[in-house]
Amino acid sequence: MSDTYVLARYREVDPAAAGIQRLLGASVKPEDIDVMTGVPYPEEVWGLPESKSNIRKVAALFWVIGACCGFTLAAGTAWLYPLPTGGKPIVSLPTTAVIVYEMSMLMGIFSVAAATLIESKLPNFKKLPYHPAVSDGHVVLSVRCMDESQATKVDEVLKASNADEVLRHV
Amino acid sequence: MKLHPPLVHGDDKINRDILRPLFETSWRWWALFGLCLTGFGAGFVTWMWMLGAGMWVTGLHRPVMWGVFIANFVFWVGLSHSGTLISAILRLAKADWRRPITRAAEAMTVFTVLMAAQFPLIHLGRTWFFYYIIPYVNQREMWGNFRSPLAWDLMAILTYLSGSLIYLYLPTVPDFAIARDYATTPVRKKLFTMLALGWRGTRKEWHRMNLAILMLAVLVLPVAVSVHTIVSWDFAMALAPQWHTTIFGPYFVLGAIYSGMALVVTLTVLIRWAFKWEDYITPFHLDKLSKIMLVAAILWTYLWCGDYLITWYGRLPEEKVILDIKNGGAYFWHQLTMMLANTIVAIPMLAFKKVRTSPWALLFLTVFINVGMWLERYLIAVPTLVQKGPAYTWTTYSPTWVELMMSIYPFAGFVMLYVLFVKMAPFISIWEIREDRVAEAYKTMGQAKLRAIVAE
Repeated sequence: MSDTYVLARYREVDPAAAGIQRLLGASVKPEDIDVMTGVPYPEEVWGLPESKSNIRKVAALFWVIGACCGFTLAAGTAWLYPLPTGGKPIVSLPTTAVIVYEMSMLMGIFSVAAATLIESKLPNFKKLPYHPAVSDGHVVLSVRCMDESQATKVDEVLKASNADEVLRHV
Repeated sequence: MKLHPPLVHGDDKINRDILRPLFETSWRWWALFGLCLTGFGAGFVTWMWMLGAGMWVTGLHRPVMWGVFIANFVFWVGLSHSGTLISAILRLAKADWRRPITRAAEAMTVFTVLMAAQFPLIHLGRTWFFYYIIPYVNQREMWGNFRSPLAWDLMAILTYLSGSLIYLYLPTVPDFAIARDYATTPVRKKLFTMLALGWRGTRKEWHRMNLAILMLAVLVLPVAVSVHTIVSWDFAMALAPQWHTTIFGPYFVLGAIYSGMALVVTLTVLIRWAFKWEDYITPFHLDKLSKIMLVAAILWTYLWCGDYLITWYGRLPEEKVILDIKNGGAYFWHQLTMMLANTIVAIPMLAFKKVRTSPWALLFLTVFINVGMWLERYLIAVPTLVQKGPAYTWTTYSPTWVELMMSIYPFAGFVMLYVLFVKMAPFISIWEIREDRVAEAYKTMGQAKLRAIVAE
């Protein structure tokens, strides 16, 4: 059986945040609650566990990989086919540094974009719980329920929290 | 925090105002697009004709092998500088006034880089040999020469273009989602659904998006500086008089910031007027942008004077002859116009708040500044080659109509891409404007009611 989602739409932030606290009080797991907004709010507003992200670590890792790729490209290829010219070194470190720098930045930038999309599970064109009022600045809570009895209970809690609208997404 | 969203979906004023250009197309849009397409097409045909006819149709000849094409390249790379750079700096500095301006500036960067990147190809003459510079192993098992500043150029421009494209696209995703929710026709709905990538605005999505934007700003900033520094090294690595100077890196970067800022202001004024966005782009924003431009103007003048004075005082014969043709010879009017535009007129005018907050005065001034900046690029590239080496090799350089057409080409192409962008993405970042309004509060202090921003 597929999960049922109960959605609650609020015009204001405060009742939505209060609604989350009521849900937590009614033993709904924090990982089953999601908040959809048209703007980013500080995490503390919702009283849910803070979101974690590895974007920084991934960027740092790929920055180093990029630097290695740059070195391989500039210095490694010079060693692959040495062309001695006028007593100059085969590998020129100052000019290699330019390529190392650009490649490390390029990989860093690509990895930030890729990590963001992968962590956010985007692109995702499946029919996930959503309400277009989010685009107008409304706050929408989405609660994942395992069965109908839990959905009914969540429904009641959200209605009691002054939601402007409560609906189901199956 | 108090939000005041509409009762009915699809009735939000900010969304409606900013999404209007996406959904409504006036005859003016078609006229401008048609005009730009014509200019771009004419330039492209000229380029193709030049490929067949050969470089003799231009004014280039030995030893002046760098002319208008290179001036255009440096000019358009320079213009690209300020969009991403200023957006990244202001984001990192958490300057809230940046919000209505960043998107237009970031788009400007992408389109100007696209125009600039074509000029090395145009300049080659035999464009099909461009692949020589692409790092791959050829049939003799030799790789590209990474000791050449031209190879650095390729890497830097590709990095900057990729970075700027990502830096433009990623923060636009939430706005594409708004456009998706507001789209009424199936084609638009499908297009914006694709571009929005399934964005829903969940807590985790926002957390990662904010982090990514911050990280990208940190990464893109040094890339922006490196691009124009490397472009300056195309000149400075050559042992040519007035090119081989250590000041060229920062001088080029500052010149790029200056001309790029001028274009940001030009575009901001025009966008504000065209879409009647006076509520979003106010004189306050113009004043802030102008102040940055003023600082750039002063610093650019300082570096130009520093470079000039040292060359003039040293009186090295090779450099003096070039200085002489700029001071009183064939390039006197070019240099005078440049100094008028970039320093003598710009700095005093920008010192006045009335000018800084007047859209039409700023429009005139910023266009004039960019005329001056184009001349500056021309003066860097051409005079050195005209009188380089022994006197019997001295020559003159006069661009032909081909170079003129190839100067119209990027201009028309840039405006055309910009006009197309108007139809593809919200020109002002909607979510950032709304974020500002959400965080907005008013505090009474004595008799005054002051605007404050609630921040983390």
